[in-house]
Amino acid sequence: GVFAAWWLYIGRPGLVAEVTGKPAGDLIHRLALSGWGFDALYNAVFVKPFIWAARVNRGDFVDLFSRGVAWSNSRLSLSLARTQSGMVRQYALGVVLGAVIALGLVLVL
Amino acid sequence: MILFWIVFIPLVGGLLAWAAGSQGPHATRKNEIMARWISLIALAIDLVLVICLWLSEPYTVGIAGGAWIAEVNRPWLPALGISFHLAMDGISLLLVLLTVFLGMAAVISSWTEIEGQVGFFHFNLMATLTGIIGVFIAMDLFLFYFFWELMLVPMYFLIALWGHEKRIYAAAKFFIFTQLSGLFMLTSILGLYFIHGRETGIYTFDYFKLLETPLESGTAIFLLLGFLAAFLVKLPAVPFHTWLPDAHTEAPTAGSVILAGLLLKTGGYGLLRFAVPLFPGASVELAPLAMTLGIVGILYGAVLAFAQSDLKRLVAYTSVSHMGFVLLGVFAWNEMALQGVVIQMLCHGISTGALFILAGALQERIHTREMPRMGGLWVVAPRMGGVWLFFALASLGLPGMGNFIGEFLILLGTYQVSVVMAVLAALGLVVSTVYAVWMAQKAFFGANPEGWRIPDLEAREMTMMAAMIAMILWLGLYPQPYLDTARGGLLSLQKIAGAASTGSLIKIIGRQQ
Repeated sequence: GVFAAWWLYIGRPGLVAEVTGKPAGDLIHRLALSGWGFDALYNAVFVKPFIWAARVNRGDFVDLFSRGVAWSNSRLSLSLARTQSGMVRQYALGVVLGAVIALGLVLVL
Repeated sequence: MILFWIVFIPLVGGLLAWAAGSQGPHATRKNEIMARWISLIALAIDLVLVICLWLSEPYTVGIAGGAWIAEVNRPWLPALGISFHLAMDGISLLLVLLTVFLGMAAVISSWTEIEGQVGFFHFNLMATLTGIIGVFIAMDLFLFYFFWELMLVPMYFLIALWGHEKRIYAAAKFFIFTQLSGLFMLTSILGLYFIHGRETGIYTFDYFKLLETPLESGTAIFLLLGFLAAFLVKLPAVPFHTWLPDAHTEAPTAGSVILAGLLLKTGGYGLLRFAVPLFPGASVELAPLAMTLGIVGILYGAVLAFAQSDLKRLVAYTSVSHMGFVLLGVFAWNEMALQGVVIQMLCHGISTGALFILAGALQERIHTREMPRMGGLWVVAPRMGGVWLFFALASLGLPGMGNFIGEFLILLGTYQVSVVMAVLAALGLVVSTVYAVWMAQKAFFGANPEGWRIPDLEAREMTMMAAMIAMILWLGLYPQPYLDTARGGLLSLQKIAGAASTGSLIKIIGRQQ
């Protein structure tokens, strides 16, 4: 190992430049320089998916359930509130209809 | 009787603070200062009382063969079997100590933050603390439920009246979640009450008598689910945690400190004291599910913490993650895991409380919680940066600080039960490093795009931070006194659970693996 290092950098200094000039040699050089490419590997396998998973779920999908409950409650209350017209005639009509239905049920059942 | 005083002195202090602080439209600054000092003094008296109890060895009160430090037992509504029964053992002592300590930190941290109705603010603060202390030492299930609900209403007011932008939404969400789950617990309590009455002829809410209720496994699971509903929502465990980020973010600083530091621990305490000992067989059956929920909580909370841009929301999600460890440890149910649970609850309370105080202090200065707008604050506020980094490191579980002890013991305990779960939970240590370092870097390092120039932490804030740093270092470097205090209580809990089930939880879970 020591001899190889001496040979490459002191014994034959032009050898390294010659090897890295060729595309295959350049690839090996870059691979060794970047620590077998582990940084890029970690980046692709761990970092990017982690950041993606975190960003995509920023609003917390589990919260959708309780937000859904809250939303449907306010929709229900708003639509029921539409029956409050303030016109007493309509309220009286409602009372009469309800009484008729109740009476009918009592007679039928 | 000392327990009675420990519970009610904060409430009395709160009433006096309310009276002192509110003189209608004529309330002056002097009134406000008086309200604050009264609250602080009341809590200081409480602290002295609790420390006296702590230092009074040996444990002389023996109820049900356990190691109890103090007890108060008076009949309250004997016709219904309700008694005013308080009892404190090592676990509750440590948690009450945490309560009073964090209560004082909350009062000190809101010295300049609260404007408007300062007396009422302190009354709500004190009432919540009374509820929390009561929860930690109540031994009668009806009384426990009473204090459980007592915690909720003043906290709702704290969030809704003095909170931030989305305070009404957050307060309502918090109240509905915890109240509803509490109602499930009430159903279980009543179920236990009636079954015990039917089987033995005695109708009682007393914890020690109800421990011996003979239950079939189906019934036991239903009743346990009721208790778990309340405690898992409070803890919070993952599917039910969504009230937490909103409540913690929108609450005022003192509210956040009490929420994160104390209210979450009531869930953990409830699991330790009530859920598992009352239903050991059912706990064994639900343990794998509960531990899985714990692990999901650890990882999910950590990933989501990393994703937040709001500083307080980030810290809130870290609470979800840390409490996942607590859930994991409780259902591992061996001595090491339980010791870890107690230490984790104490340390998480202090470190997250400190982070919320710092976030509140930062918000008071730059009027925003958005991390993209922050950066490079260490240069302008080095003391704040240093303390923030300290607590960020504590949060990620750096050895030397108490959180490491807690998480490590829980992992050791879980390893004895299930290796797979321990490995998955240990991943939580990696993910927590990500969010802790991220939050420190985003806020305090890097460039300062908006050119903030802010006053650094002042003497009042530094004193409080120094006390909390000292506590975390004490717990991290020399936790033995705390472990010793809790040991007696934990052993008796294990004995109670072990005696009633057909074998220790470890063995049964081990066989199922």
